[in-house]
Amino acid sequence: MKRLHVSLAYRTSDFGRPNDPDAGVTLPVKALDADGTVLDEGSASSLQPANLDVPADTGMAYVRLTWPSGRTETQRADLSNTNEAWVTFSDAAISQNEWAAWAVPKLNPQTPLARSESPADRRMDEFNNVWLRLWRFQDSVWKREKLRPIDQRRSNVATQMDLELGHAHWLLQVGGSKVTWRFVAVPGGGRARVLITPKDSKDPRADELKVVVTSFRERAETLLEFLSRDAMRSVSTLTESVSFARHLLSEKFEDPVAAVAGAYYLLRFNRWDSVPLSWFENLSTNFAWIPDTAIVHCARLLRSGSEAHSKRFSPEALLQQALSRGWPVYAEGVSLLQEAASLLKSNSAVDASYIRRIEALGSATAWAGAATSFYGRAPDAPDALHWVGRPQAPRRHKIIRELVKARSSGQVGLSIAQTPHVIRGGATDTPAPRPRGPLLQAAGGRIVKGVALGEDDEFLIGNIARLSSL
Amino acid sequence: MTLLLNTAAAGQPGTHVLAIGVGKYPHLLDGDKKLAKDPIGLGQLDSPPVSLKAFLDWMLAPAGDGTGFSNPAVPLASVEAVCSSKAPVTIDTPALGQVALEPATRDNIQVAFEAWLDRMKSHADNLGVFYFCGHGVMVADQHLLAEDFGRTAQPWAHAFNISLTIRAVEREVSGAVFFFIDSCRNVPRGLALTLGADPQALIGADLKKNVSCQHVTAVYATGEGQLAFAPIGGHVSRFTSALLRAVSGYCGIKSPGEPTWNVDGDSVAAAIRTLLQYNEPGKDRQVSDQSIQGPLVPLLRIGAPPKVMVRLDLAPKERRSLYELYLAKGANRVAQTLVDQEFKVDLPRGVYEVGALDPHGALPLIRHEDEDLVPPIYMLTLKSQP
Amino acid sequence: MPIVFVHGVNNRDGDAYRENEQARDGFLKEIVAPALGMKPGKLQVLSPYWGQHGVQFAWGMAVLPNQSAEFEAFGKDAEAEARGRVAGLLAESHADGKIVDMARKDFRTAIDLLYASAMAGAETEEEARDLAKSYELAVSYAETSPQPDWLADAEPGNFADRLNHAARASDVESFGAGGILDSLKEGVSRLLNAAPDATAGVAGRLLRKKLNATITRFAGDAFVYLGNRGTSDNPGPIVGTVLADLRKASAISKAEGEPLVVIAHSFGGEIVYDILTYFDPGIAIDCLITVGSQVGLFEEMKLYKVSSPALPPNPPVGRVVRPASLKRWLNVFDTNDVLSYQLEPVVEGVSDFHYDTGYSSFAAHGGYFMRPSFYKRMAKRLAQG
Repeated sequence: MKRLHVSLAYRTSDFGRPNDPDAGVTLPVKALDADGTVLDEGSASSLQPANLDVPADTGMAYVRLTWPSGRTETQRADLSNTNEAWVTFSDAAISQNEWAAWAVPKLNPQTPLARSESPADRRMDEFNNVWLRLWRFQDSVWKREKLRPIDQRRSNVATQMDLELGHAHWLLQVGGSKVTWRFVAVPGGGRARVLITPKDSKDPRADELKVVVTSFRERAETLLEFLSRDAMRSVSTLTESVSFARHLLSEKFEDPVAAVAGAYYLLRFNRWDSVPLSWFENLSTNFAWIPDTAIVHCARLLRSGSEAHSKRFSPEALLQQALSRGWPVYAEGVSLLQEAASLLKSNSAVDASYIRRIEALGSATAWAGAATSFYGRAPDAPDALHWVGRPQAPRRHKIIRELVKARSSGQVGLSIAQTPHVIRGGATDTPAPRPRGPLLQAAGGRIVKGVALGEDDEFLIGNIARLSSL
Repeated sequence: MTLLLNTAAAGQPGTHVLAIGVGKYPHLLDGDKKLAKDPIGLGQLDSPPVSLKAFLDWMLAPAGDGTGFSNPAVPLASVEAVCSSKAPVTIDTPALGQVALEPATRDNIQVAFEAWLDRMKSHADNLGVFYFCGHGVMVADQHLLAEDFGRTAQPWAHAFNISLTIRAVEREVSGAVFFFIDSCRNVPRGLALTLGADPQALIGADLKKNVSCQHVTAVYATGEGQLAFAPIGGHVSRFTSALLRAVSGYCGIKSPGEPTWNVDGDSVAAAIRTLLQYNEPGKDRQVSDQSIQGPLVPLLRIGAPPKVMVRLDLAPKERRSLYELYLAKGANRVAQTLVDQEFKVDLPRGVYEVGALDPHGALPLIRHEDEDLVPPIYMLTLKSQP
Repeated sequence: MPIVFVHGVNNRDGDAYRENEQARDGFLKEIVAPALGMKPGKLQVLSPYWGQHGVQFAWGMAVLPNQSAEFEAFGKDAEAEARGRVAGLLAESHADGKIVDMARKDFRTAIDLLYASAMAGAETEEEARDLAKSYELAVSYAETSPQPDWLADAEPGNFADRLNHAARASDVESFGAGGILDSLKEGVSRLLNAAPDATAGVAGRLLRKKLNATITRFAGDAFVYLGNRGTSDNPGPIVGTVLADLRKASAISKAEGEPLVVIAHSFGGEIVYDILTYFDPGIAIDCLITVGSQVGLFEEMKLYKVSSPALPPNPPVGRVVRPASLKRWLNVFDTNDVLSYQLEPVVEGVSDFHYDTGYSSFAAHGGYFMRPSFYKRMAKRLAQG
């Protein structure tokens, strides 16, 4: 046997979880021969190289690293005259800005963030009117919170901010005159980083802005990024290591969000009975501030047939519990909700309104990799209709007709702003085109249909300080 | 139901196929019977019978270079098909000669499905393949339309919920099942209102049972809310073309310790998606979608390495005819010399040196070492500067 | 490629049938622009809104004789507005909502009404453009098959399906139905639902009120405009608003080397004429289309800045010369529209286009842009040169 040591010279953030023994970036690597046959695979991290064993007669070997986005990097390793070789993958050239490099592996390979030359036509300048809002789910109501970044970065092609978020369920909302209103889930319970960059293709259907989120849980997030793209092989490789199981599936739940990632892995790979049922029960009971804990518990029960259902825990009750805690933090949770809704639809123990909410979420789903993301005007109402404009003046941008239920004069939409119908002026986005219905009031604390209205200031992306030299 | 093959051996695992193609819808637009009250804009289709025949012909061909179902560990054991089309479809079978397919009415589909499911249950390691080509609509779940859709005032009595069927099958069998669904997933608005009773699944999900199925891969021809397409005039659909191309040797991974190149859910879904992207002719984009559950199980085990469709180009175009474009691996080298067009060639999977050289030596050499040619397609545009 | 659309009296809050601007822009781009040699995708429609500087009614037109809350009966959201438009359409075309019966008698008119109804609810320009494309296909189909067999047993529930299916020209087969059918089926349903309102006289009363309000507002706008017109050094607010967009469009047109087209409805025509003759004669316009306008009338009344009492020297002989900066001028009027006037008797070098809708005079003034057939006829007329 010959051995290949593959290491990852990727910057580790300073903000990894304190109790995460594998705080470094971890990615799957494979050793191939010249015919493309896989000789061995493993996961390499910035703290621990992968040791791949290849047959003794291997001459030239090729080591391939795979990013969640699907992009790969290949390096050769000549083992013709030796039994050991070292290969290092570095992130030095990944992105123009060091602070943005972490997001590149999660974005489409054509992302402007990865290109070394400044793209002429896609600049963050044109997104000066894009606004951001932060929402927190508390006491069954979505409440606006002031966006207070503890660190900010900006370049021609990206804007990034770090937030300190408490133990609750958080949504970041982004919108603009040409940017469809969208919500992206941000994990709470610590520091989180959000990066926003223009889209990487000319496809008019793609979202104008891409949003990438991290809560510095490297292994768990990389696993979920691969899972959201159905890259089963890569997920398998990452989860083979012993330390993975030890950390993500630990009984002590040192990091419940990472435990949720572990649960998603188990459910997807049909390994849900490799941990005791009590593990799921403890997760959903003790960490109610994460909606996903109830979702994975519900899915676990549905998978194993009704013998496992007890009076205390039933899938119907857990489904309703999950929805009353907010939306899933991770997109995998949305699929599980849809599965549960489909199976429990005809079950009278579940209120039809929950099923409808799940179906609405399903039809409004947007893409943000592993993070849950959906279109809509309000955080409690995902909507397949696309809206653009300033927060006080949303207007319909595009309708995915195929997914919209009929409008009728009798049906009123949300009780928040009515549709201002006519757009005045030329190409610019002039404010307040005389809506006909009740306006969104800026008064503090008034609750309108499940949404508490806070202060009316938005965080304009254009206001983030630009770095002088890049 | 029409059985085209039945060589299941007791006590041995086998692959059981159920294939459905619906192109003739008598109660939809341009049909020859009474038009449904609300045909939701759907009419007759020319492609599904052709696509189904291509799929079945590939399945039943002897396993060889690029055709035929190849999985020595779990060989083809049964093939069942129903088809609705203007002109009856006959399939050439190895054992039963020419067989004419019965129509894909809701009842026939139900009978065929139940027989397929029974066969699937006969061994814990059986593989199942379910193929459908025809009209489909989506309301939360995906529904597929049988030939007699619209016959009665209850049109949905002649359709079935495939999403729920898949979830039900997960609790009925223990092997691995692959679903290939070639239909649209859009939601006609009128449907959302009139959908009183949900169309039934082919079998109800028994929530008392465990999910026992080892692995399920479902590949959909298109994304949620989107349409699936075929060239006009009775040709194989885009999705089925991509599927057949992928499994005809343009897909496969050889893992450590495995003697064969295996095609599993992960690789076949990725290959189909790539092929669809490459073949898209402009406005009507079609992006396939997939759902993969459970550890990977090989669908096909192939002896020879997969092939890669190579598309090598050079920019700027004015210089193309001044170069020799080449790919080389070890002693093997293929090239296109001094021709003003894209270099198209099929090569076995592997790591190659790819480049362009000027036979007259004037222009600079362009060389990319260690290019990993991954099936199904490898595309590169070499840049000659300045 | 810029088109400037200068509105008239119809685009105000409280107006019963505010036009669907998305639909209008979509149809302009898809149907009219090609007749002018412009590509739909490259078109940019600028719509300067001068309405806020127009007449304001301190008591909200309380002095109108016919007060009623009929519009509110339709509701308050977008679909309600669409229903209101369709009710008006039906009333003014003396039709009931029975689309299939109408199709059997006059297929072409039924198609026009169906698409007008679908257009009334178009929410985005993309949707309107798709509708416009579909409309053209349907019209071609009707020309080759004025009485297709399937009409005999068609029902409202499948009329749109059958029409869409028969008329479509697709180069791919799709395993499902496309999106435009939904818009058409909504169109059918609006016609069916609006019919009771139309026949019960609700729409009729609304139309009468609308005519009164229109004429009242028109007079008011004229007074306000004449009073606050301003001078070329100091243009008034209405002129200023329109002038800004005209200049912007002119700059775009020069930069791209593309023609500049201006479409002016009703009083908008007078504003544009004043600008072209007095406020900024330097703006070069390739084609001006005035629709339901009163430009000739105001010249007869000598109300423009440049109106000369010396013209005509020998009434009625002698005419005003078309402004030099304007290459071509088409004036569209409908004899049923009490607020539309001819132009040729007063200005030379222009073409009058008589568009006889046969509509009720109550509604004709606003109806031009709600009818797909209007765009087609305008396009045909423009293509003739």
